Amino acid sequence: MGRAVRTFVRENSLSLFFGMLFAASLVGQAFAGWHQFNADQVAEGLGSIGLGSYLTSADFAVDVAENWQSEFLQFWLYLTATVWLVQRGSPESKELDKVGRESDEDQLVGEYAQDDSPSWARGGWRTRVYSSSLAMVMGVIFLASWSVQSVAGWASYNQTRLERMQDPVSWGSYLLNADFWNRTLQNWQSEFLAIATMAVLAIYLRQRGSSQSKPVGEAHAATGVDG
Amino acid sequence: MVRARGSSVATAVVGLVVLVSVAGCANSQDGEVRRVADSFYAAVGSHDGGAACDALAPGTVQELEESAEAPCREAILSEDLPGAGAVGSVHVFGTTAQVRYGDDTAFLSRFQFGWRVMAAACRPQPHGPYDCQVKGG
Repeated sequence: MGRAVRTFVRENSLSLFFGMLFAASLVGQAFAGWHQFNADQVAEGLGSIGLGSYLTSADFAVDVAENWQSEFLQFWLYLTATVWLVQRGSPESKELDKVGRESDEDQLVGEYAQDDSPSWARGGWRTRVYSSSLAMVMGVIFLASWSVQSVAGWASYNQTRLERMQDPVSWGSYLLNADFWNRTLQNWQSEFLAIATMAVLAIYLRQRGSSQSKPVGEAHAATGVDG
Repeated sequence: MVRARGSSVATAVVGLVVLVSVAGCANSQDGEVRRVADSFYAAVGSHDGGAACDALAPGTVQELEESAEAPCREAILSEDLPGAGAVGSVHVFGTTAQVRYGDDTAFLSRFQFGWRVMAAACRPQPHGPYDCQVKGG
């Protein structure tokens, strides 16, 4: 491995590590879900399907999408809520007196942009857009994932209804159905719990060397300090 | 702070496009589902028990033979199924399908060897699933 490659891997190790974990987990989910689907089909006296058919099925799509939407909702809410809400003592929070969108000087935009600032930070409509671009992208991916969940979940729900010799329901009815909201809320509650837990536990507990923790010796009351 | 990386977002967007195409895939199997259901009712109408049984799911054939204690081709004709009438609508979701006729409803399932009729001569019930004269165990 060349020096340039080693440097690239080291400097992007966080993205690469989680990218590989994502890919491996998705492959594992695909195989486990495929086997579970076929086991259920056989138990019902129905036909089993190949891996390719399962990967393009509504069952696989809804299982993936319902988890994705909650993750991107978590990021979107976290990004926007931490503009206005703070938590004393938490490294997840900014300093208590910085509530709000902060000044142009603080944010290095417009006349305060530096030589190496992104070009869209130099003022005008581009800066207004760029100032919320991360939350916008997270929000769009959340809405897209949730929409996919609603369509794939509807198809999967109707497949089960037809197996039980019941009429299918319309997509509109499915949006008010307990199956849609159970899938949605069971993912939301776990995301919200994780965020709240991290924000509070990080006040009192430490992980030496982690960017997500305060330095080990930092005071519990210190707010907005990353390790 | 929890942070998202650009490459993760790009991966997510690509994945979403795939998911949308999968979920939005129109049911191109309506024609095949209708053909199999029609062939079953046509075979019953022409008293061709063998052809009717060829359109049935394995579990349905087994249930018919066990309950009638006779080969499927005889058992299906002894059911004296009513005519189905004109096709009203076809609904396909994954490996299952419903074909509604004017006077009857059939449920089908997809196997590796193709679509087969899982239940036929089904009548809707006010509450609960359809009541089917022919169905799998």
